[in-house]
Amino acid sequence: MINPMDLSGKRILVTGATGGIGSETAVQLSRLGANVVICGRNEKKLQGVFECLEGEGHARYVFDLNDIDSIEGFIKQINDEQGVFNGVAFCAGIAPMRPLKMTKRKNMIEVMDANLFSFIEIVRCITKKNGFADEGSIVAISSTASIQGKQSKVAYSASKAALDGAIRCLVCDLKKKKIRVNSITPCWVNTKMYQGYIDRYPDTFEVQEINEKQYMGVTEPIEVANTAAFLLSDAAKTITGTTVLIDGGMSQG
Amino acid sequence: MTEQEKIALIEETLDLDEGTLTADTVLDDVDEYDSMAKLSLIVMMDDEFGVKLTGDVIKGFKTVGDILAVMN
Repeated sequence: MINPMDLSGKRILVTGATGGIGSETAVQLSRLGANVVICGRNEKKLQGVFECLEGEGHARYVFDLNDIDSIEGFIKQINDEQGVFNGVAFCAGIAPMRPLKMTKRKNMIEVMDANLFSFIEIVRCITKKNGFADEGSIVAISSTASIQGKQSKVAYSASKAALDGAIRCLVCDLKKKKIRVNSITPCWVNTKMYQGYIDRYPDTFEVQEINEKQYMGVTEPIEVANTAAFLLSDAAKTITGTTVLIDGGMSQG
Repeated sequence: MTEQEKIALIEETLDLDEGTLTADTVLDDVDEYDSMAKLSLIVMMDDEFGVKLTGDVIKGFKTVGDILAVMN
């Protein structure tokens, strides 16, 4: 038996670890042998995820990534306490719906902070000298919103398109250390965020669209987690600066 | 906020001319009250009143008066 996605000996930071995709990713990375360092805002939920991690050598940190100015200190702390990292899975993010006429700068900033600025700040800080291993891998959860126009998603789509744009430049900036940076672009994923969305906006055209266009079904979080694991593993050793589309056929429908 | 001011806010949210609505207006009779209008209402209620409307609550709205009742 071989396991090309073996992550033994790799220390990986998972942000947004209490969310649907983040928690699944953290647990799956631990099953593949990684030492997982999880962070999230809610201490109780974080502890719950921590207890699901398999194997030894994991750590948890309650931290709010929206506090962008504190990220530098936070990364220094986890580097000091945990050591050098081999990977980052950026799973934090928010996906609000807001009509254009109600989308003010402060709403844009809120989404950009959560989905983009915190990611770039983490990458900036963790890839400093002695913080991140050469040939390490960084994966960010993007969205099909980055390539598809939707009503009421100006801020969200802009943040995800910017995220995908950023990873291509980060690859260039991190070329010397051969650090790989990729994103995953799912459409609808079966998380609490998705269920809350269905409950809250049952009549919108988007909800109808899920059934009609994502004809292969709503993606389960484990599929996104496995894709993240693949991109973080040596099985994807020369895959960089790209995005993996997981949309259940939506873009082809 | 007076009831009249609240009605004006609903009119603005739904892109309606001032004076279009009263507390007795039946929402099914308002052409502009579509899914996007409902989303606008959700966002406005959250922004202005800190009220998080669920799909079930929205479905329960029959008249403008029903919306006014949750604008606290």
